Amino acid sequence: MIPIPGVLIALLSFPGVIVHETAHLLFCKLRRVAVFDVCFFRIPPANEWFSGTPIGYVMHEKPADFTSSFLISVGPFIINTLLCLFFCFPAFFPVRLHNVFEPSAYFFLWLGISIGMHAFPSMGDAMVLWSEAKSAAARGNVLAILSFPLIGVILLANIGSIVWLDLLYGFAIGLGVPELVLNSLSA
Amino acid sequence: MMTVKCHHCGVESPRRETLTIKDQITCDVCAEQVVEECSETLTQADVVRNIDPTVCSWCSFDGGQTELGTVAALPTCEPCEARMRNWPLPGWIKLAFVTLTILGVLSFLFNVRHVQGAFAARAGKRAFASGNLDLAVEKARLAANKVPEFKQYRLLADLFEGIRLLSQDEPAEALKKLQSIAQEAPNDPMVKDLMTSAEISLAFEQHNYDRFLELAQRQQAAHPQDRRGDFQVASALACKYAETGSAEFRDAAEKRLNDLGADRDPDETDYRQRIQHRLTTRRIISRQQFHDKFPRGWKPEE
Repeated sequence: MIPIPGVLIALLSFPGVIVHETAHLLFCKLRRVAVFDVCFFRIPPANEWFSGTPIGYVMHEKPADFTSSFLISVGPFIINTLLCLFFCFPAFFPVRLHNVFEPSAYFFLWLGISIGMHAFPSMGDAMVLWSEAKSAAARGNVLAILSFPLIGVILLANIGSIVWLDLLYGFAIGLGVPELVLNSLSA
Repeated sequence: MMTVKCHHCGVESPRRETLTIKDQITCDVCAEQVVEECSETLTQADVVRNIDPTVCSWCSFDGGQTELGTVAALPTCEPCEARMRNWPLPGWIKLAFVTLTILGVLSFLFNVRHVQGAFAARAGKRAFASGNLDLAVEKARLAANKVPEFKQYRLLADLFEGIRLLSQDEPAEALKKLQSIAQEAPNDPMVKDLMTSAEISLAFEQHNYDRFLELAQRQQAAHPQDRRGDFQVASALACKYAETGSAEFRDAAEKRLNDLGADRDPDETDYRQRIQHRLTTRRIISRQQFHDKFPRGWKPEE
């Protein structure tokens, strides 16, 4: 199998990277967590293409409470998923129902799926959340205890991205959910 | 700003321009030499950059003798802290978001017609299945208007309209409608059958009973399992009998009716009565005339 550099995938789905970092930033702002630096999208030098150098990042202080940590880490999952639905939903119907070739529909499907496939928090986000959740759970924080399964899912999703699980998620949200809605309405 | 004296050269320097190397204050100038001399024994933890709690680590604002608050353990002035806690979203992100949101909403408003079209078509098919041809035509026409580029909806509406015209005994109009569909869907067997039905009705209407019989026999041969085809052939034979008085046609028509056995639904009973009426009276009347004359059905003894 020929490994596809992450930067190439990120280039093809760059709106998703930008939305992902924006979601982190929005939740930092919402929780008044200090941000030191933000990069919405960058192309690292060619020698770093396979090294896992992040394409975008938000550097922020350690949040004072677990709720903030949780929201900042999980923010992209919420925002990217919602935006994926928002853009794919109306574009789905002309293509799926009537096989109409409408460039705008395909543009929105690409946009939505690109955003959806970057919904999962990165491995770095998951590891930070994991360590924060452990200490918060030890203090009896209910959200921290409840978040363990989600952190597990995020970790699995990151591992699964090797076999395109992130892209599959984008398709599932962008095309699968409208299909389900259509089927339930047609029933 | 706080100042400290270098342990090595004794020069007073701003605190943030000094390091602590193995617990000794060292100015930046001496630091290089000290690190070089002790390079073998020094660890990374032995060298620490000194922080001036009165100078902002981000913008170098000098608070004089007042210690500043901290963010991430670094002295931070109020404007820097306010900016970091409410990091500005770049203008291009806002612009892109607003533009794409507007486009997304417009896309929804423009494309919602596809959903409306699909549901109207579905409602039309359901109405057709339940026998409500007026509603079927109305819904299929609505679907075609919502998604004009999807020709199947227009064909569906035309098809329903053709069937409705047939049911209203307007075969000439129905045939025109069906012929227009056949131009776009030439191999559709349903359209072909409906066209034959329309031609049969037209032949009946024009009193061309030879043509009626020929078409009915052709359609019956194409669908030997369809009982309606047998009724139609019996009807054509009855017309021929009424027209010619030839017992051959009458016997053939009666044989067809006998072979069909008991009627399976009220439509079959109605059709059988009309054929029997024709055979008994040798009068050929339309379905509408028959229903007007015999609203409760007809029996030979009447």
